[in-house]
Amino acid sequence: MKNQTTGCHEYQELTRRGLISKFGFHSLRAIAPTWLPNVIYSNDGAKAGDHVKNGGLGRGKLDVSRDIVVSIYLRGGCDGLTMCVPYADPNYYAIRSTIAVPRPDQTINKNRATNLDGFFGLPPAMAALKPLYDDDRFLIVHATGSTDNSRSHFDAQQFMEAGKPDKALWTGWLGRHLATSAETKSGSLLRAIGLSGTLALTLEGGPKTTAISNLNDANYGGRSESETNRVNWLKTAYETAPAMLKESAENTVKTVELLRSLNFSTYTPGGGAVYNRKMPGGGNMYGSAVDFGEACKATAALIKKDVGIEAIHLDFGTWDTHENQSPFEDYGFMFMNMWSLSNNLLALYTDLNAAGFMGKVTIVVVSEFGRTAQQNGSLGTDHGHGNVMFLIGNNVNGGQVMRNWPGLANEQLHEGNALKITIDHRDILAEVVQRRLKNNNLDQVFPGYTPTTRNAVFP
Amino acid sequence: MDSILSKEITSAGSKSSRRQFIQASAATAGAIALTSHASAQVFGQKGLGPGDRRRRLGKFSLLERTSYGVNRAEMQRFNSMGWIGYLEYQLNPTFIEDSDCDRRMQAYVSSELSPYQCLRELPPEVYCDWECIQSQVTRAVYSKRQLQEMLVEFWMDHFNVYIYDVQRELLPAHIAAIRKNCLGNFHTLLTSMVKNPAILWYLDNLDNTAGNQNVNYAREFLELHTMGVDGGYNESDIKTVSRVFTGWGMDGYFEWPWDQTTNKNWGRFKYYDEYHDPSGGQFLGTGPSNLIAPGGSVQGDTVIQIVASHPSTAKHICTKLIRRFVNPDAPADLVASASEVFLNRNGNIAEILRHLFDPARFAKYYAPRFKRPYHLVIGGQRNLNAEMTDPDSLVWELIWNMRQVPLFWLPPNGYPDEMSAWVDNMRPRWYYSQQYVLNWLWNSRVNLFSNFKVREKNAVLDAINLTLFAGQMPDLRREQLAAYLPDVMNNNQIKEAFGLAMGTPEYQMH
Repeated sequence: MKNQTTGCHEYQELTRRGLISKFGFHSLRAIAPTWLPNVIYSNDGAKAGDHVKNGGLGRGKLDVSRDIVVSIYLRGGCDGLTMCVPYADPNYYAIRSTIAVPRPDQTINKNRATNLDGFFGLPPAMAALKPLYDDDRFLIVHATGSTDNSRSHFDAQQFMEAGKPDKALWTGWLGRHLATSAETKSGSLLRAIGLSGTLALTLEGGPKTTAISNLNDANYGGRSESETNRVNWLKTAYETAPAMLKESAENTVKTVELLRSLNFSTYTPGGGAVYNRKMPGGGNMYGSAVDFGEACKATAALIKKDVGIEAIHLDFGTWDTHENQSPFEDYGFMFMNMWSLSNNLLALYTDLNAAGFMGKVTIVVVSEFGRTAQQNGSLGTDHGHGNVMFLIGNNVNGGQVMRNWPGLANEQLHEGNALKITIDHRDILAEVVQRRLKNNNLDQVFPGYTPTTRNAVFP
Repeated sequence: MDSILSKEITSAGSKSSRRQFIQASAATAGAIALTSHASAQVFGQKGLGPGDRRRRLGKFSLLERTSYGVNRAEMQRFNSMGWIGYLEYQLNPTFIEDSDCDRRMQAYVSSELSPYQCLRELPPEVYCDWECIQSQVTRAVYSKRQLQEMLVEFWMDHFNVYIYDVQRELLPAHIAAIRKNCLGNFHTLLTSMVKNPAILWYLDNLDNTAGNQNVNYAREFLELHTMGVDGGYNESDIKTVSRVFTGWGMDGYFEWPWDQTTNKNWGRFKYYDEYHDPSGGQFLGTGPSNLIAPGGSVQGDTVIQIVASHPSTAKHICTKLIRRFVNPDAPADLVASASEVFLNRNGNIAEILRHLFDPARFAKYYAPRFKRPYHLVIGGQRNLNAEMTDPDSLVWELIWNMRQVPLFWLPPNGYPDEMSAWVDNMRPRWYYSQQYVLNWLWNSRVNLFSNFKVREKNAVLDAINLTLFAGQMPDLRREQLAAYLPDVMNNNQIKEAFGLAMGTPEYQMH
């Protein structure tokens, strides 16, 4: 047993949460790891500024030149060998006998890849992002990921989101970035939003951070004539609640205020952006593929409103393609997922860029692990290791597939069946934090890790 | 003052069910001598940290942990049976008279049907997957077998399936198997969950065949269902288990078209020897005693036997039970003693719960829990004796606003248990509380005024304290509510007062 004391799986999945509940009725501050600055849970930007003086930000001096970061998590472990196809690797077609994406030079095959750099290509469902690649706005990092060996979804997600393979770490890298930087807009209602039912670990630990599943949900219920009094009463009641509840109630009230000012239901995308584009056969997407498009649209609305939101996290589920990956056909699950991902990312870029925001937005897409190099017996792939990671933005060092390609021959694979990791995902994220989010506290955002410079984004 | 309490003491209540219970549990009748009064003395003041104003162990703490929400009838039953008596009553659900719930269950025609019957014999307008959700919610609100229903929820999380990733006709049998075995031996429960096409479908084992291995099920079987991620197995063990379960599948899976099948066993478990890889392999060690010998389906039975009685499994299951029913922190020494019970008593779940709910032990380890949305919504209906003619409005609240409805969690780990996973946004909880008490939820009606005639503020506050807080509303909240409310209240003000009380921090805990 690796660890005798921490109990069992789901709980370790969220040990960060386990730890919170362990001390459920104490202030979060009391259980913060000692290496965290003690202002980490403060909602007061000036105090956070105090701490990061060492990092270069002075008290009350707001750094408005920082990017807004959009963090996208593909839950389930997406198949990076399909999403960015190493068609020129001599072993690719041998290990993917029926689910491989054909070479770009197969001119009569409609499923062929779109060439990127002579070695890699995009599958048809991802080709919407090719123009961004050509404009150097889209960076693909390959054979990357969290280097821990776990092939458990839950452990691997935790390690990647925490930014350290440590089950006791219950805050996320982005949450800690927020906690160790001053807010960009003084007095903003919220600094970070998770567009999901529950807050992702990535954002856990961030001040003024909450989860919202639907931007139209700004209704307290009950009789409108008594609403103000009722909400004031609840606010008072929660002032004497345990810390987590108190914080949640405060964020709830702020969120409703923010959403009411946003009036998302009337939002119109700009630049001709089309969210949730119909599939090539004319059909509509469904399920999480559609939810992702709605979340992208909400992201654009939040950013363009310019209310001081610094980080937005989106979850996109159902990438766990053990069976029938079907990367080519409308009805294939992975086709629909990739279609949604590429077209909605393009829409988000287009929408924000038309409004002049893409110079200060960086989009980061990750997933917990890649899948097995060899396909399995069900036309799918099982849990693997190395994977892709995507960055989009006008200050991203795009137009390339950044890699130190390990190869797909048996002896080149991780444990004989998965892509190796040759670039730690934290190298890329740390650059985003330092160069785009202007936070030098990397020892706190990625504790215990010294990143290697990769030049994935420009300062 | 015509309080709810005085009514409840004089009400005739549940004589017949109590008689049935006492006959059923003669062996433990001696223990009933420990009355709730006596057991209340066992419990001292247990401080729960800063900010907590309510959550010390109280007279009805067992009731609150073994049900979705306390109501008058249950408080009365608890009062007359005492701690141990009430616990035994709940641990023997088949002896609990439940005709009100049974009557409501008649609306759901598919819940007792086989997969074949669901496939071929249901009218087209009946969706058996939706009925699974409706019947689950209805049972949680109305069944007197509350502990059973909480365990059904517990095991539905543990053996999670996602509604849109399983052939819908397999779901009623899946839930029925859980309900049947939820308080029995873990080995039996686990066997019923392995020989369960809903699970095998969801985790891709139907296509795990000789020469075409798919290890997804084997991994989750070890990681989630039994030993836990740090239970001491490795990737090679996963592959062995995967081979062992090749050919474990669903009757009729390879026949087509299904909608014309005449195979009455369609959708039941079937072992296909022709798809089974008989080679076996090493499991949990390298020695000869760790070898799963070449063979057929007996290999799977062997693996189930090994893991069901493995110390890692005992620890994993007990930790989860303790988090859910005693203390979200799962204190290590309680996990250790419960695991011992698990291993010594053949994984008997009722025995583990007896251990956990032992009055002195429970008092020692009890800590408050944050209500998950399902618990909060169901409990609200129970506390105020709502009449729910159809559960759909609750289901929609849970789906759209609170994101916790049975069968809607996609990953295989089940809905999270931790407070922090649910605490981020109070708005849906406040919203529900107001809509509910105002009778603005469709098909759910609560009549707050049949209980007390006087609209005087203190009477209302007494009723709130009793119905929503089992008598433990913190003084501060009562004072705050008293300051907010007028001395003589109109109907809307009374309703809103109940809604506000349901919105308090303390009501979010149990």
